[in-house]
Amino acid sequence: MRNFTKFFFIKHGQFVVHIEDISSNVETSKTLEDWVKKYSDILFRRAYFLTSNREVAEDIVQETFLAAVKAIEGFSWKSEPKTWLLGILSHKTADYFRQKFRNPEVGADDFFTTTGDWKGEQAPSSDWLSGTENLLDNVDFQKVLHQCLDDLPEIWRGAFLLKFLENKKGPVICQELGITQTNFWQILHRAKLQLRRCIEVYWFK
Amino acid sequence: MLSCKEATRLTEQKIFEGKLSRVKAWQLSMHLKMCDACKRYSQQSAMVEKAFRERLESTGDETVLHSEVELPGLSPEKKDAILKRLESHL
Repeated sequence: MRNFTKFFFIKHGQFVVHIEDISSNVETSKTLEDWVKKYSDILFRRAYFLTSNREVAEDIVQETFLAAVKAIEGFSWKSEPKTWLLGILSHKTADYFRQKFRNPEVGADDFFTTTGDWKGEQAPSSDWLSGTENLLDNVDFQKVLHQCLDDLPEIWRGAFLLKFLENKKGPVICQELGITQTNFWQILHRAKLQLRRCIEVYWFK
Repeated sequence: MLSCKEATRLTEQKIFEGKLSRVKAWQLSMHLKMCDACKRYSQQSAMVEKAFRERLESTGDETVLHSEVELPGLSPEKKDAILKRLESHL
């Protein structure tokens, strides 16, 4: 076990987190102010991409830093602060989506008939000519991705994004959300159908 | 025989979980052999998944130029507010 002693002290009006690694006698110090200055824009961009909501994204960034202060003893100074902070941000965003899942609504089926066949124009009828290979450098395509994510009801968005955030399997996510797997798959299915359709309409047609 | 609705749902389950039970995987592959719309759906759904994953990852990369669809960053006011909150927690 690495033995950390932690001191917080004020220096020139800045709050400094001072960590002394007794076992290796390596002294490391980082200012939280530096972290906020250096990483809050990146954290905010990710939170905003995930939630499309400025206030929510700002709150998530704030909660991320507050959680980071509490958990700083668990931070290994060999790793990137950015990666560590983005990890905390993922958990905070997942928490936010989980809260939204209390009463999931799936809504009417716009994509399939009662017998489960594609409804006319909803069926994918044309191949997407170019792959997504170089599209990510394309600003207009990015806009389409944002727009389509923005158009999703919040719960559907959560179902689609939770996997990206914490890399958990379906059953674990359902258990945490307190919903049945059937219900979860239904929401995820619907989210994906809408995203695919939205991208097709705004980009490939 | 699966309906298109069931087939696309299984497609999502497969993408999400990385695999399906042997029976479901067989049912799905049979359906996809016969149904062009669902086959297209399965390819395009995988592309959608990949596009969003890569886009998400790029938001954590400061070397990537961010477009005007995103806000430039956290507002200075909010940064100050966060610093004040952090002070009170130390």
